[in-house]
Amino acid sequence: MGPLVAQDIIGSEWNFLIALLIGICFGFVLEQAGFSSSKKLAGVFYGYDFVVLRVFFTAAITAMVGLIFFDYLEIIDMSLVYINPTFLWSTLVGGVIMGVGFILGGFCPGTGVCAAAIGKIDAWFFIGGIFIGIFIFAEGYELLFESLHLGQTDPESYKEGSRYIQIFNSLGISRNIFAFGMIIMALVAFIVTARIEKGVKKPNY
Amino acid sequence: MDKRYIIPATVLVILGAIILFLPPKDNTKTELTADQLYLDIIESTRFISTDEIADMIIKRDPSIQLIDVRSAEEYAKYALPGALNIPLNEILDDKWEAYLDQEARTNVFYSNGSLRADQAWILCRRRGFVNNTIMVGGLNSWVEDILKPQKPADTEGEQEWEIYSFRVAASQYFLGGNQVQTSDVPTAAPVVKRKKKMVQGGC
Amino acid sequence: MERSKKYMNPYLAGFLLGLVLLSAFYFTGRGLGASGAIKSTIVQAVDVVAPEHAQESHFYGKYVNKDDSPIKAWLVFEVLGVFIGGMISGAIMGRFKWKIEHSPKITSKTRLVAATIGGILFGLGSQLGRGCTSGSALSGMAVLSLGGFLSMMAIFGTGYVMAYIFRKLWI
Repeated sequence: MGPLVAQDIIGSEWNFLIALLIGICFGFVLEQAGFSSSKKLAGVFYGYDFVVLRVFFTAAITAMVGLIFFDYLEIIDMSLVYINPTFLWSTLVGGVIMGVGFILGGFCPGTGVCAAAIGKIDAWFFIGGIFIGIFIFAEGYELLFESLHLGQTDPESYKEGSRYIQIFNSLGISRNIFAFGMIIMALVAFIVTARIEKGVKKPNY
Repeated sequence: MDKRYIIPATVLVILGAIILFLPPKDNTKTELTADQLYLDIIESTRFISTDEIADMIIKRDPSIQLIDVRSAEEYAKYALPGALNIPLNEILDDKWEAYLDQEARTNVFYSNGSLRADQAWILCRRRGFVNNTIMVGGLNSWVEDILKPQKPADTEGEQEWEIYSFRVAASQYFLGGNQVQTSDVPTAAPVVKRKKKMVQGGC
Repeated sequence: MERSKKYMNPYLAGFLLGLVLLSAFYFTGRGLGASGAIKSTIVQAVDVVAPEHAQESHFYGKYVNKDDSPIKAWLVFEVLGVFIGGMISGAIMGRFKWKIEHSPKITSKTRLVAATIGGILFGLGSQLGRGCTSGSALSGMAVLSLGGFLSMMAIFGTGYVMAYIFRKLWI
């Protein structure tokens, strides 16, 4: 039963090989989808190309459905799977900063690496920027970011033990109903965005 | 809309509908079923005799950890050397989990008789913990067998006499000033099981 | 339409990406990531150049003293893989070319400055948000983490709000 490495079912010496292989597949798919082009990525914000939304949602839903079935069939032990913790303000402020970074830079870190691999010089600058950004964060950590990052400004209900909360819990519905709802929402979004795309003139890229 | 998307979209909706009817997830997977628990209860290896315990204490065997499941007051009055006090009413507390759910040592539960130790054992076993055992007869047997051993009849076999001489030696060991150790023996920090370690986060 | 043929169907690509993500969960118990690799590199570099500073800092200190550095190195290998994978795909499709891609309305220099600032913001934000689009939003959504959904909404919501201001960069 998975996850394999976390339970020492396969040795940690395989860990890095798996990392490399998964990374290669990840990079390959991103490039194939056209995520190595910042203009294609930015299209989602201007309505001329919704490839980001399509790939992103299809991937999230595929993995979500897969994990639910893996969990049901006991192929994977979900108690060992990492659930991203929720630090309310830290996540929101970080997300907003990343949003501005996205519209300015045209990449996110993963796609930036992918674009750099096929020779996009702007992607190399973007990656350089990430280095600078993380360095600024690290150096200014105590002074500026620590209390926000550690969630000291979060409402009480998020503090004690509920960091690993899942969205269906906070909405008060069951996981399965939420998953079904998400599938329907994604399908609707796919249809709607396809309509929008038709009406927006594509810039040449 | 493009016709070629109809089939994948339908498949997705069907999968979603199946998910809708999956049973809600139970978080009790590590807990044992009644059948499994029964099979473990009738297994005699979950018991350790007072003689074996006495021997291991004298030899300072590091592979066992005695756990006194009686109340704190009883523990304060008298306890076996090196024993840790986890009262039965606290056995489900999270703070003891690292001691009870581990693979490094064998825990030996004891109470006055066998009853509370057995209850503690069953509660732990049901939670999926291994490496826990019970001292048969508890402290009552301990006093009778180890501290006040009865001389066997002259007609008894050699084996009985061997046990007796061990018990006499043991009783001298335990009554001969070693009693001070009861509660101030430091118990080593529990080795937290690696397996349960949560995976560290991604990006 | 000719142009978009060169790229994979987005739904197929998304499905494949989902499978990659799923296998990452199956093998390692966590999703994909990207910015974490850069963080590990920086932490390692600072630890080598200024070990005392690294020890004292609350940020570096969290990472340098732990013996879980292989876990962090995992992401470095994964991102190395992303680079190789991107290269393979680019080579197959004949897309490898040194160039600066930008809208005709802006100069290359403007594009590079915008990309760098964007990178800085992304680097900063990914640390606050505990992961970037892949680590926090995508992987987080797959495990239905509340944080993942918040992250996704904050990133794309802000993108839409800011899109009008920065429209010159793109259209």
